[in-house]
Amino acid sequence: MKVFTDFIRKIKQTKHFEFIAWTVIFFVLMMILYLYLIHANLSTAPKFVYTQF
Amino acid sequence: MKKLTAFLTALVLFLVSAAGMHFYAESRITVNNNAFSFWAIEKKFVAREALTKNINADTVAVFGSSEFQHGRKTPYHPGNMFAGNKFNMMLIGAGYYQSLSHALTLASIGNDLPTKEAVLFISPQWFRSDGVLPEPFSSRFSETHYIGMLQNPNLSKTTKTYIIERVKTLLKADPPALERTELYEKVLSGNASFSERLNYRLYTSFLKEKELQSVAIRMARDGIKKNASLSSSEREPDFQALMDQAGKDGEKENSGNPFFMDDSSYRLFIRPFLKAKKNQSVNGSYSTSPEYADLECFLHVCQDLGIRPLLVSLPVNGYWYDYTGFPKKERQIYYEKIRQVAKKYGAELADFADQEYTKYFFEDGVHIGKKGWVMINESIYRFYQKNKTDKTL
Amino acid sequence: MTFYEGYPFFSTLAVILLPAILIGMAGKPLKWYSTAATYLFIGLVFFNKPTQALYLAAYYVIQVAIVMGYLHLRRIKGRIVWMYRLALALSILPLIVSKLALFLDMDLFGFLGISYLTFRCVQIIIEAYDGVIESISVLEFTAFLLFFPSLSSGPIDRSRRFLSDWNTVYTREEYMELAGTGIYKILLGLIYKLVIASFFYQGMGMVNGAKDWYYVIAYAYCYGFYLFFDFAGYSLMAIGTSYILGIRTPENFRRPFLSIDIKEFWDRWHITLSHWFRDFLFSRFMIQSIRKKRFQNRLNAASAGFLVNMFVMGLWHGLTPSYILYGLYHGALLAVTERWQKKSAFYKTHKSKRWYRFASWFITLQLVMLGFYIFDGKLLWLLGF
Repeated sequence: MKVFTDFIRKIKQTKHFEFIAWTVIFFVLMMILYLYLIHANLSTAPKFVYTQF
Repeated sequence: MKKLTAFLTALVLFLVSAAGMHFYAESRITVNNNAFSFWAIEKKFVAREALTKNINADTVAVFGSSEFQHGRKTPYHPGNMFAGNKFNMMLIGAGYYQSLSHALTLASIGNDLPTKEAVLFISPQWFRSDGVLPEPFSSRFSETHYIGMLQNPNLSKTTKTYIIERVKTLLKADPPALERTELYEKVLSGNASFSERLNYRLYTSFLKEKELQSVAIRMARDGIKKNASLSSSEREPDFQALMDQAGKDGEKENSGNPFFMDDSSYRLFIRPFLKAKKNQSVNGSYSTSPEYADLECFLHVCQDLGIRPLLVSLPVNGYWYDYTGFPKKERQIYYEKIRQVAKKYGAELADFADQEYTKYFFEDGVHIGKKGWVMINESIYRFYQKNKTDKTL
Repeated sequence: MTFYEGYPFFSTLAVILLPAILIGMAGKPLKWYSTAATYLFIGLVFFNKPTQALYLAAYYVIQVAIVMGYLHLRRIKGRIVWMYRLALALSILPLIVSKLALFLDMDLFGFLGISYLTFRCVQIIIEAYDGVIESISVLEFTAFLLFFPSLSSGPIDRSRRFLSDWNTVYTREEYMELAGTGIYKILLGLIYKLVIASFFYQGMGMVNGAKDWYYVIAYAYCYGFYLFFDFAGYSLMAIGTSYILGIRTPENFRRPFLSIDIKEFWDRWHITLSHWFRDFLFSRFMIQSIRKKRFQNRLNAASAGFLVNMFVMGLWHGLTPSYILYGLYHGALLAVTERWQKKSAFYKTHKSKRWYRFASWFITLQLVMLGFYIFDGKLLWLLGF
């Protein structure tokens, strides 16, 4: 645990922390959007089930 | 300063990742075995590029409906019967696919079929009086195939016009898709504005990428390997032995329902509705339907593209249809009409009309089961073999 | 083309915002470019809706005449009540006509954004009467009224705040921070609207139409979250776009489902709308009531004020029984909350305890969801109307 908190503190102290954090945030947001558009079912066709065959 | 630069850095990383995913999918999509062909899921059927990239010199395009998703774990499903074989059926179809969808798909991929062979499983249930309905049609509609059809130079003008008009009527159920198909038509007929062409470029490249990647991911999930043991065997399955086995398996899986269905299907889909279904279809008929014109359209596509069709005329489960009161005479009229259509176009016909009362031909009331699959697979295999020897002679 | 929907809009938006970023980074003023972009987008969106375009044009001309005319009269004649009331009435008239016409199944003055544009005009007239706005140029008024990122559904900005941004020339550093935030908001808004809202929308579809109590609850929750992510997503995109054009349009949502009471909810939900009503209706009603001694005490005045305020907000959404009921419902909730917090000894002793805050949050969430259920017209449907 201590190692972890130290690690976090260390990262936060680095000069570029804010820059890296924003880069990660932007990257994750773009990836979520992209993966959603690629893999989600975007069909606008109405749902339909035959009542019987 | 930081935020906008961070965005630009992230954008570069994102573009690199997207390109990486693209090349992975691209390298993954073509497989060296026939598992892809026999793989029967919707994402594959609509993805034009994935289909054409996996068609080879031993591919017969096979169009049908929900039977492809039935009995996949039995040894009778073609994917299992022909595992490892060079011969492969590019299965295309699921519930709600009917003649028109298939005509459209064939018009899109027909030029890429080296064998020039296509099989169509014709279900009697397609021929209800209203034919294919707008909602199910639009739920199966593929825009990449539609574009492929529009771009096919070998398709005659009349066939193309028929398909376009039918699609426009049926897609009223899905206005955004209808709007896009109108855009495609406008752009590909060469009289679109600059912004419309740009619009088309942007959307179709997105659509292609979407199909490519979603098929590649689904392949990984469903265990369709790129490099499995090569499908190279030319050994013919022992159809007679399979037929005997199908009879025995059928008996084992039927603990006494009078329709010779599999117990699991019977319990789930038939028994709860037994009372309601009795004599419920006394006015049933498959003899007049717009589906006949759509079926002819499929055959027109075959003629235009020089494809030899095999029509598989599926029967209905006679025991069950008698119970629901569907008139025998109407069934015979229907089978005869299919024969007439086949004759008119010189199409080969695998006619199973006389198998209505073959025990264990069906899994339930309408889907072919063990014996059904063995007999139909054999007829398709013979069709492929015969054409092959014709060609070498 | 539709605002914030479909790839044609977003690809055009990207193309239009790119030069804005370059101009901003060069440290040059953005106001001319953003005004030109506004005209372009209005042209593109209303291009295939000629009737709406005509109404918008007529509306614009009428409002310019009213606002400029009133500002002029205010300068030369001073605070004259009847002139002020007349200007207000004329300014609201097109909105009332369009809502009434809709109620009678007609289309008169119905164009995308009329509900939101009216707030902007009325705000200028009220503040002119108050004496905080002395003059505004037609160009400035146009830029404020028609600013395209928030044209269709807000957020509702205030003219003085807007124009001070509009006239600001940012340094390169300032602008790059602003534009980065803008892009972040657009991306987040897209995820809200495309991914999360459509997820809840599918949930609504699954339980829609069933009257069992558990389906009703599931529907209400799905609808509530759908509404939030859809509208907050839109708002984020509108705000993000305006940031890139140098305008810091105010936020519209601030985690509304974490509210501990209904008063706090209206400080977190559709903030620019509720604050507009607070500043220009509620507080003015209160001042008048106290001055004219309409009520026995302040608490009664506040209760009446909440009811009137929310009733008008309900009417503004549309002249349907569900919207009006929604307004009265929230008005009543606010009045009851006000009384409870001012009078109850129980509240005063327990309000900062953890369990009280939790219970209060939980009850508030249920009341809010019931409110959305009314808003969607489902409560009246469930009761058989």
